Amino acid sequence: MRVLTLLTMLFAAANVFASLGGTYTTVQDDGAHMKGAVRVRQMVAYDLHEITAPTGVRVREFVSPQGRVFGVAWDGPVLPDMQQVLGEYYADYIRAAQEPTRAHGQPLVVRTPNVVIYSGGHMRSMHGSAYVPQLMPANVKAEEVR
Amino acid sequence: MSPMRTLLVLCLLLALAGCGGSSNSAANNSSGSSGGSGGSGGSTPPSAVNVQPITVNAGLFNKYANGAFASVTICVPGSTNCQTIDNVLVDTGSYGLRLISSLVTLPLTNEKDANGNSLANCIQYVDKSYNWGPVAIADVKLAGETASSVPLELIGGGGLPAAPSQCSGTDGKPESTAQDLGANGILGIGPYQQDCGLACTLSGSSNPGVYFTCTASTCNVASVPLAQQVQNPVFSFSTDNNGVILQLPAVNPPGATSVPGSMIFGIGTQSNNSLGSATAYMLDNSGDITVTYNGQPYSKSYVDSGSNAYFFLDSNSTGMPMCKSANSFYCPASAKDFNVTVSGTNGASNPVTFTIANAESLFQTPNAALPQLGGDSPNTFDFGLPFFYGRSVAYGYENHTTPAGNGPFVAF
Repeated sequence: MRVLTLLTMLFAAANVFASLGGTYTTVQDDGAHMKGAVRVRQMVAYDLHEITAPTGVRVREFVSPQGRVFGVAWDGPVLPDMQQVLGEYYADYIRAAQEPTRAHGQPLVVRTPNVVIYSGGHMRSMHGSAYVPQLMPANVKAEEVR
Repeated sequence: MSPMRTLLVLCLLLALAGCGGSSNSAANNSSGSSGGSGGSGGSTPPSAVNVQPITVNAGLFNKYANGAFASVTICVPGSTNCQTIDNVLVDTGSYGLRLISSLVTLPLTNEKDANGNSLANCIQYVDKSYNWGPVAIADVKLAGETASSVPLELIGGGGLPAAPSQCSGTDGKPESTAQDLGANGILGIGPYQQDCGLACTLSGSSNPGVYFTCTASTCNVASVPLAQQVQNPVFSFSTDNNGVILQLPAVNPPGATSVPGSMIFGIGTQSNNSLGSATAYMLDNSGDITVTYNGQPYSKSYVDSGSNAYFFLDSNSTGMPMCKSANSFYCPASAKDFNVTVSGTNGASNPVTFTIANAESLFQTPNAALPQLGGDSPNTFDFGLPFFYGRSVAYGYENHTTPAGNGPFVAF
């Protein structure tokens, strides 16, 4: 994945929830919501928007040539706002999180035809990723969303 | 860590480990009694001033897989008014002591801010479940060691408003009871001193929101000095405070109902806590190591006694199907070996081999210690408790010196 350009921008857009599955402009909304700096890198098959919040929580949003956010990844000392990051797929995350058989502290993995979500890590180091298989550009592998 | 299945063993079999509740006996700092319920796993661990017995068993509710538990004694600071709470999970993936509040009968003082408002602690887990409760001060005694006046969390403790939205979200699941947790508390003995650290001393939007000050009705994110944050009590011991070693015997597949082990305080400070031939892997800024599999490095990997399996990669990359019923776990048709390389930021690098068996088959045995239990965790390796069987795993603490160098590191 060759980095073609690199530019740093600060967005001050309205505070709107959006993200995974959303369209390009919602990335700017997310930057505003996180009070974070948004850095855009144009990769060969997609744009990578990295938002770093003052808390050190980083969210990377993978944007297809069609302008859709097909993947997100995050890391930092605490979770990002999962509702904001996962957007319409947040319900899938919560459904899996509240399964009564889940083990405390276990990584959470959601696998449905619509979305794959992973949330793991340990105290002071959380990380995870999610992607929408139907929105993935043909030449991008799921492992790249990290 | 609550388990994905029910064991057949009756709770009575675990009576020595205090099945069903905490003991409230006034305790002293003797390390003479074994905390274990005996069983099939190995010889009796040594008794010494810096050795706390631990036990892997099915836990309070007789359904825990690969949980290591210890008894923890807390005291009103500077007094002999003490209480021992058993079945506390030994967790190297967290930092600080957290106890289910309703089990604590001692009159402990809670921390307040400068305005006299209560200080509350919110720990959020990967699935948005969370521990919410006041921060109290107690002396903490483990084996013959004492940590004086340590801030700890009383999970689900009273005197606070409900968890604010920054902690719980709208739909995070509270873990407030022993039933929720599968244990009477969590003893976080990983390589860091505080549960949050410098970030929580900051004000404004840089503060990640682990601490709150609460009036009778509302809670707001608080800036809290390091010394008032929930502390890993081992850092506060007067000696043997530069690290910890967990020792568990090898467990033959498919497993054992109960395994005795040791939590040894200090590294290179006593005759019983040298690192021997172990290699130290220095941790990165996130407390992680790198595990390489099939030529691919996974940099956000870690060794965590509080994880109850080898959690790593996914079905595609491992070639193992997930189980149908317990679908967080792998169910290979026959046991499968994995050869990986573990490396630290210091360049230390060594091979590690482990084996994953069919989890549904393992869960049909009466065993609580399951050395071949594995589950998925894409793009990372989480070496949980099965990794500790047959090893001494040491954690060198941050800002401390050991014969293997300065922490934070993990060594084995």
